This record gives sequence, C-alpha cells and structure tokens, in this order.
Amino acid sequence: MDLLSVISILDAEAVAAPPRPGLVEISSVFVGDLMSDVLSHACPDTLIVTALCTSQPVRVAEVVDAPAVCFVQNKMPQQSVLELARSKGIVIIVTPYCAYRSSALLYRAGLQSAVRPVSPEGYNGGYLEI
Amino acid sequence: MTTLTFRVRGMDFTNAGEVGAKLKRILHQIGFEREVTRRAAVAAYEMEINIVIHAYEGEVRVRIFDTGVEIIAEDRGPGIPDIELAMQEGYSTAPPEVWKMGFGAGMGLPNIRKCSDIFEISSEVGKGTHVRSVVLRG
Amino acid sequence: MKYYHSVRLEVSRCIGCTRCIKVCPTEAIRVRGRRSVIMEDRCIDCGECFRVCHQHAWQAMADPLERIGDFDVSIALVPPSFYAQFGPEVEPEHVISALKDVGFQEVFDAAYAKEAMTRAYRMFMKTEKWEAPLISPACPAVVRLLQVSYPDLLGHIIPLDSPIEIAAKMAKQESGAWSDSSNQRVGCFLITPCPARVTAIKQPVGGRRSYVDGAFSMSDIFGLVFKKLDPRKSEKIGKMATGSGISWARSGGEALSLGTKKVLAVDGIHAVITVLHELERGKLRDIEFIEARACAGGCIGGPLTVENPFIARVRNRMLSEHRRSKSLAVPVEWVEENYPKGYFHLAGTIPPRDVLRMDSTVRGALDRLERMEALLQELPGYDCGACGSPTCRTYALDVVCGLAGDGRCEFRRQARDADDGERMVRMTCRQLAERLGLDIAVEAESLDEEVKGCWCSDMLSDVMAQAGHGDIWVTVHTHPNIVAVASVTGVSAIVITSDKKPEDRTLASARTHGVPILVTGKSSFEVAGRLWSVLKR
Repeated sequence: MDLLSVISILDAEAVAAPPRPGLVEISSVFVGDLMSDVLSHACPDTLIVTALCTSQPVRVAEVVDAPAVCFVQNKMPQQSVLELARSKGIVIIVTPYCAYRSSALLYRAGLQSAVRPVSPEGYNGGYLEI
Repeated sequence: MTTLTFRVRGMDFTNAGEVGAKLKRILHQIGFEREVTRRAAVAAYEMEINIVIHAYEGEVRVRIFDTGVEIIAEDRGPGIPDIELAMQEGYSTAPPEVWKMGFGAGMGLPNIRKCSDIFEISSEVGKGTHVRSVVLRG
Repeated sequence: MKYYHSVRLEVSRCIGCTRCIKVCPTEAIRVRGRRSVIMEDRCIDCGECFRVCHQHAWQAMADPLERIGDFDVSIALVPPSFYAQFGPEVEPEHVISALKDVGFQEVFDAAYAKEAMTRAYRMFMKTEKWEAPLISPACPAVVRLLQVSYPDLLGHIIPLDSPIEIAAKMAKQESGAWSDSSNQRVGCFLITPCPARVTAIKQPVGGRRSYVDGAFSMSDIFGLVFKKLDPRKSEKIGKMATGSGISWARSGGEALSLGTKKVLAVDGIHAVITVLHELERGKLRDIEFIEARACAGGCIGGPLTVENPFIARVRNRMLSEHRRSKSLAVPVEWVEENYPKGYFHLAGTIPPRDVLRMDSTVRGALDRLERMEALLQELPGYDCGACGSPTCRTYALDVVCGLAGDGRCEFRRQARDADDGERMVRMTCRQLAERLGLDIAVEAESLDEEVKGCWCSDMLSDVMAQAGHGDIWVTVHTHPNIVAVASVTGVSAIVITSDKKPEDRTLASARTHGVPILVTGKSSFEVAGRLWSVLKR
C-alpha cells in the first residue's frame, strides 16, 4: 500500500515529507511506544505508529530503515524533529486518531503486523511466515 | 451534475439577488465561459426577483451540467392570467413601492427569455408559476 | 511567472491560532501542521492578517532603508498619510526638512499628484464612455481584490494609473537630475502605509515597470524622521498640495474631491466586500464614483502606520482644513495638456486572476462541486476554523481539491465516533479473550464486565490521562507499575502483547488488586486491529 493511501485511511497529514510521498510503500505496521521494541520488530517497509512524539522514533526509523513515522492523537512534534526527519528522508504523518483506532483502520485495510526477520536463512522478503 | 436549491420568500428584498450572485460565483469557480455565466446569473436573478415581488414563496432549483445550466423557478403565488401579455417588454404588474428599489420595469420575463436557449413558462391563476430556463455552453 | 506578494509569515513566531485565516478576505490562508500557510496567488496584500496576529508573525516585505544609497539622487515620495503620523505642531514642511536630513536629496508631495488625479478623473468622466459606477484605482488592495474575487467588476475601475505612479512620474520629471543630459541615476522611494502598495510597485497591474523604485515602511522610517524633526527647520517645496489632495489620506477625501454628490466612500476590506456584493447584484447604478479603501479609515489606517487611525484622521482633517483652497494646486491647463497624451492612462488592462477555479476542466470542477456539497452536509456549519480552513464551505472545497485531508473536522469525527459507539457489539472481556485467543494469566472479576473500548499505548502517562473504566489496555509493559495504572484508571483488563512474559511481581500485584492480565504472542497492532473488528461487528 502506498503511503498516500495510509495518509488517507488515517485522515492524517504529512508534516514532514519528501517531494513525492506517494512512492513510499508500506506493507507492515508497528504500534508501540517502547523504542527498543520498535528496533527489534520494524522492517524497511514498516510504518511506525507511536504516541512518543520526540526525535527518538525518527532515530529508530533511521536505524531500521523504516520509511515513515505516524504520531497519533494529533501529537505535533517539535520543529527540530521535523527537520531531523526531513534530513533523513523519513516521512512524518500525524493522525487525529488514537493508537487503537489507527491500528484498527490499518488492520482493516489489510496491513500486516511488522515481524522481524529471524535470520539470514529464514529471511523471507522481510517477513517470517506465520 | 450538481443540484442547488434556494428558497425564496416573497417581499424579502433584503436577500433579493442572492441566488444570482451565488450562482455566478459557483459557475465562475467551475470555469464556465463568462458569457454563459452571465446569462445564467441574469436568468436566475430575474426569476428570484419575480418570486420576491409577485409570489408568497418559492424555490429556485439549479442543475449544473458540463454542457450548461438548467434553472427552474417554482412559486406559490397569484399566478399569471395572461402569459403572452406578461412576456411583453415593459408590461408589469409590480406594485409601485418596488419601482423605487429599481425593480418592476416589466423586463423580468423577457430578460429571462433573452438569456435562455430553452425557455418555458406555465402558470395557474391562484396557484403559482413555473419557469424553466436552460442556458447552454457554446 | 510567480506571483509576487509582500505579506510574509515569520514561521517561528506562528502558533497556528487560526485568527488570520478567518479575517482573510480572499480565504488565502490555512493552518497546516500548527502553522499558517499562505496560498501566495490568492493574497491581495491587504494586511488584515497582521492586524489580528497576536504573535506578530505576519510581516510586510518593504525595502531596507539602506537602499536610499542605491541612487545618485533619491526622492522621497511622501503620501499625506505620513504627515498625519506626527503631532499637531509638526507641519509638512518640517517633515520634508527632516526627510532630507535622513538622507533623501529630494522630496515630492504625493498629495500634489492626487490633485492631478482629481482633475484627470473629471477629464475621464467628461470625455470618455463609461458605465456607472466607476471604482477608484487608487487602493492597490482593492484592485487586487477585484482581480481575484470580482473579475466581472474590473471594467468599473477607472483605467487610469494609480496616483502614486503618477506622483513618481511627476517627481522624476520635476527633479533637476532627470534629463537626458544628466548621467545621474534618480530613484524614487515611497513611504508606504500598506503592504499592498509594495506589491503594486514590485509588480504593477498591466505589467509595465513602476516609476517607483522602492518602498519604505512608514513604521520603519517614522523613528528616523521623528529624531530629525526640528521646529526651526522647515523647508517649502514648489509643488505642494492644497487641502483637497491632503484629504485623500482619510476615507472620503478622494470622493469629496470630485465635487459631485453621487459618490460612495467605503473603507475597511470587509465593508468594501459588502459594497462590491451589492454591485454584483446589479445595484448602485445611481452612483457615479466609488472610493473603496481596504483599510478602515483610509490610508491613515494602513497596517504600517504608527499613529492610531482615529487620531491620525483628526490630524489629517485639521491639516486639510487649514490648507483649504478654492482651486487645486495642479493647474487645470497642465492636466488638459497632458491627459490627451495618455499621461494618466494605464498602460494595459487589469486582467482577472482566476485563482479560485475548482479544476482545470469543467467536468472535473462539477464532480468536485458535487462531492463538496455532499461533504458540506456532514459538516456542522460552525465555521470554527479548527480544521485549518476558514469556513466549513472552504474546508469542503479544500478536501475535494486535495488541499486538506477529510478527517480534520473535529465535530464530524465525533459524530462518526458516536455512530461507531452505537454499533458496538456487547461483549465481556472473557468472551473477547476467547475470540482473540488471548491467554488468561490472572483471573479477576472484571473479566466478566462488558468491554467499552480499548486503549493501545505504552506511555503510562497517556493511559493515566485518557483510559477509563471498562477499557481494555493493550501494552508491551510487564513491570508491576501497569497494575497500579490499571487500578487507578479502572481499566477492566491488561493485555500484554508480543509474547512478553509479565514479571512475577506484576502477576502477584494483579492478583492482589483484582486486575486481570491477558497475554498473547500477537503484536499490539494485531490485537488492536482484531479487537476493533470484533467489537464493531
């Protein structure tokens, strides 16, 4: 699913975005506010949905190569966070919905839960078959 | 196709002209040619004023197609006994007090016909009047 | 070509309060990401936004004062509104002298050119064909308002140049340094009370280059001039206006100067709109001339002025009464000689600016109109501005034109949520656990309570603030604190996701406090997603 569809599903707004956010492909979602958890689960096509509105999710996204971060409940990050995201080429979107509702909407739209690849041998296009 | 409905009350001179102005604005936003917009706005304006002057209450319904505009005015009012006479330029039954406001020159219906590509009028005395005008693009 | 305009936003100061979006006469401002954003091509530079801005985030881009030095000879173009900024003891001659001390080589009284305009208007009305009512070309914000919002009324504007352009032309020709033989570069600077004039100079209507080379904000230069004022130093200049030209600074002055009774003077951009609206409805045909000023009070009420407009109005009135004269300072012969040569005429026509189009094609626009009307039915009509658009109607238009997401209306969302609430399936925690395959780690009574909602968060403070009785709390936390949070907020169960094992202390505490704990290998995302689909049918 492209990011524009995600934005539309979440009634969200892209507050930091590269010129063509439509080309960003999202196929999994991670919802949570513990960054270590995000680090261990998110993949290069994961949308990180969080209520933690600091630079940390952006840093984590950079580490795991996640293309986008979604802040819930209209939490607006500081300007510095937006600048950081822009400089790293990470899209930040802000949705009015809470994490529960955001999850529900994305789940209903068919997005998968982000699952970390277990090992190079078990690497399956970024997913573990379950 | 979009339908817009405007309610018009008789003798409500405060808001008279609102329908024409609104329609003009919308057609302009849509990108209709200036001439088409003008004709449609004039027709709508005259229909609205007719209801204000002559009827108790009425409705102006506008349907906008990409090929043109259809405006239908329907009112509950005294009706027109002699339509042919009413269609003559300068013939008016408007009361003198509305002359002062610049209305009632007997140009309303002829003006609508002039602006329309299709023009229909029917009336029943004691019931009301129905006017339909279609303004086509190019 | 990109449309230039001089009103700018200092982003770091803007807090996204929505005050400015509601006063903008062309609905050119939106709030996005808690900052105002201006749609450049719609802005008419009237300055309403910075009148209402508490943060002083809106600014006008006038020229820096150092630009005086760019020319060999710099002429200050002084509008009559500038005289009104000073106390009653300060005469225009004092101001002129002070301006020279500030660094201008010459000073030209713009009010003098306004008197020439009065004569030119009369010539126009006498010699050319026109349709009543005529609209004054003097206020640049009003001219731009017509271009954007009332293109059909553009034909009513007198096709003469603005008085400031004429003033600059006269000033340059008047200047000794302005001749073919002189190699000196002559620059003309306006002391402007408004940002619209800055735009008009940088980008005149009709496309020709302006005779004015720059504009200084009245408020920027006021202090400098004030310091140089000296009651002993006053300088007379050759071409000084009488009371008539001076009165143009306040609303009504221009209309009065025409000497006919069939004039209408309106000031303040929103008041101007009401008059234009009447005009569009076909009224006001008995009026010959409309003086419309975007600023309340006229130019003395400009956003870049210093003095309170009501006080400035008194000053201006006293000065124009004091200098009242039977005849205008500009000789009628001079105007009669130059008018036929086209001295006053605008080079081109004033084009409409179709920036309000809904779509490039009629079919597309109609489609959008239809969707817009449908969306409007769902909006409350409060025009609260919280969505970032000035009115519900504008918001609906923004949505169908792709300028805004359709979830920005708080009221519409609440209404939808309420709908969702009604459709909720009645189910207890235990039934839900069964449906979702959650393992019960700690049993407690509230497992048999009905589930009212869900809260998915790992931020304890968020849960404390927002979760409530009957909610299920989905988290990855395992430490004992979660039990405390759960019992304080009254949530009916905690679901620990992602295969995390609750600590023993947590389990013990949960048993003591009667807080049920469910565990699952699924992620928070999946639990939340499935919970929703079960609860909402």
